[in-house]
Amino acid sequence: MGSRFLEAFEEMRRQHPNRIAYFTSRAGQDQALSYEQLGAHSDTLAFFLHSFAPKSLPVVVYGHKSPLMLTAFLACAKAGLPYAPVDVAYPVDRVSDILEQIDKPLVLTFADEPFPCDPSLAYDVVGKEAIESIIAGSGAPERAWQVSGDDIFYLLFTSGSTGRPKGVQMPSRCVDSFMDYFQKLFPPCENPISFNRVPYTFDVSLFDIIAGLSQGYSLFALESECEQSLASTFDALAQSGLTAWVSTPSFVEMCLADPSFNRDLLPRLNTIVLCGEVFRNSTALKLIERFPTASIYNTYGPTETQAVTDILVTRELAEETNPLPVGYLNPEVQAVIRDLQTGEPLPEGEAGEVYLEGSTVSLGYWKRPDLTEAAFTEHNSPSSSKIRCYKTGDKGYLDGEGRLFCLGRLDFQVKLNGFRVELGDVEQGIAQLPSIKEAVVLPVEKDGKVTHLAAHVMLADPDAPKDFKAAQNLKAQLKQTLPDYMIPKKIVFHNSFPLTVNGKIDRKAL
Amino acid sequence: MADNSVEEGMLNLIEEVCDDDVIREERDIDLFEAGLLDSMAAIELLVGIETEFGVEIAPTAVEREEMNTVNKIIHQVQIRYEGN
Repeated sequence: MGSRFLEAFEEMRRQHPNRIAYFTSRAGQDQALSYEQLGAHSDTLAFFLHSFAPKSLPVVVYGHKSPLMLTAFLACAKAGLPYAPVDVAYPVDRVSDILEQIDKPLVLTFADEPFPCDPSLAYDVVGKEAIESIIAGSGAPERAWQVSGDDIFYLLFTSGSTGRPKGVQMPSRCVDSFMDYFQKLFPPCENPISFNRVPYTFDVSLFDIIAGLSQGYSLFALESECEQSLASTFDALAQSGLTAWVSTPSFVEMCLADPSFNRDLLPRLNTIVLCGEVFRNSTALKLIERFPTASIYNTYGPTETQAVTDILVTRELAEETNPLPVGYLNPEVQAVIRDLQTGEPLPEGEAGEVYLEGSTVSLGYWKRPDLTEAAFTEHNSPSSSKIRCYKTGDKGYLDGEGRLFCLGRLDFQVKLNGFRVELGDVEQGIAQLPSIKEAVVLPVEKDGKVTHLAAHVMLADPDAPKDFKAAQNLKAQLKQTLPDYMIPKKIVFHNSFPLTVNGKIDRKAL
Repeated sequence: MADNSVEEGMLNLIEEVCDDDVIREERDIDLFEAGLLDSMAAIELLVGIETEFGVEIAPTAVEREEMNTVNKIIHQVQIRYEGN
């Protein structure tokens, strides 16, 4: 038993000890972390964690992009502990909520700023310098400690419709199965380098951590100061030597707006993997034009199952099939399309709700049996092994070739620049403010893509000012509880909300 | 197109991208800080400027501080506009 992912990583460490495992735009290749260093540092940190951290409780790893974050992830897996990444971009209330949900976890913090939460919410808070000195020490984990089978490998907190984030628990066996499936998108090549672009709180960041590190890839990440400026981003990209690109379509669209985003900027790029939201045909065609020799893949999968589909997007496909299919399924995962009313399976070509079942379906939500029961089921296969199934809330269909197509959401979840947002989460955040009586949040779309959120609010005091300053004030208060990407761009004040015949707020009329 | 019609056209465009008419009044507020622009919307704005005015501003050619208020955005377009 044990983790096959860790085994594959250790094999790469033996074969390529001096190869770079991780480097960032801040430190560059000179101060990169090698495979041997990542292996050795995570060994000593695992040794420490095994005796120091509360048993089987997730370890919160707080920070943004740094080699130490990755070291901590591997160290937790080696020590048999789940890890929960939390990004510095999260407001303090949300971080505190996560700590409360886990119930006094050990926190490892790698942020430049001090840890923002009340330390009594944590078992202990260990900072960067302390961890660096632990890493410089010695100690080796026993193989038997490793996460294995149903042990939780990672816990990712995602937007919840009732205003509290929910933790998706991914066990070690799912990580191994995902690795088996996704390695094909990280082809072997001379000095392979992948773009570890998205925050660790987002499952897409695991594409190259799992499938890349297991095959000897060097991971390249942008530091936050670089993300603020597209000019510095492009400078960093030009220096990176990337061979595999992983990002959301939104980020690619942003880069494509600049004519210099092309083969000359990234001459070594041979693979582009997109995930997290709709990949529009127009974007695909532009990308093919700029990178004619790269293989471009569209992929799909909620955090609850990891990515489960992939398809090579050729010019022909992008010209003839709109919307683009999200792809063919992982051979170990099946998509079942069910009728929205009856729940009966539908034949190919007919649209219904997408259910995913198979080897990468998560265990459910951390300490939330109610939410888990509502979205996950389990049944026996003909060979009487258990098959887990996840009800995605996505509308879609399968075509005759077995390609899955997605047609949007069946509920109030939206994808905003690749971020998964429950409108209810934002509404709760607003409704909690003392000046608000009621709030409805709606997505604003342009060309079939959500561009921003609009909040429609009724104030508790109908005579309070409803001007620009009032709207700014609300946004400033929301920053205490919601991450920036969840804050509505537009605030519309109402004296009353239009109602439907049933007396509910008429969202369509707003 | 005269200067003031560039200005009027730009106000329409910025209002559309920011989805708020307050930008007509508050021309010196930091649109990023006010939550009216983010990096994606800023790109949408640059694409709109090229489509409507034929003025090409590469996203890597301007830093955020050069385009974070209504007046600065209009200025960036005016200095590149052919008629000037």
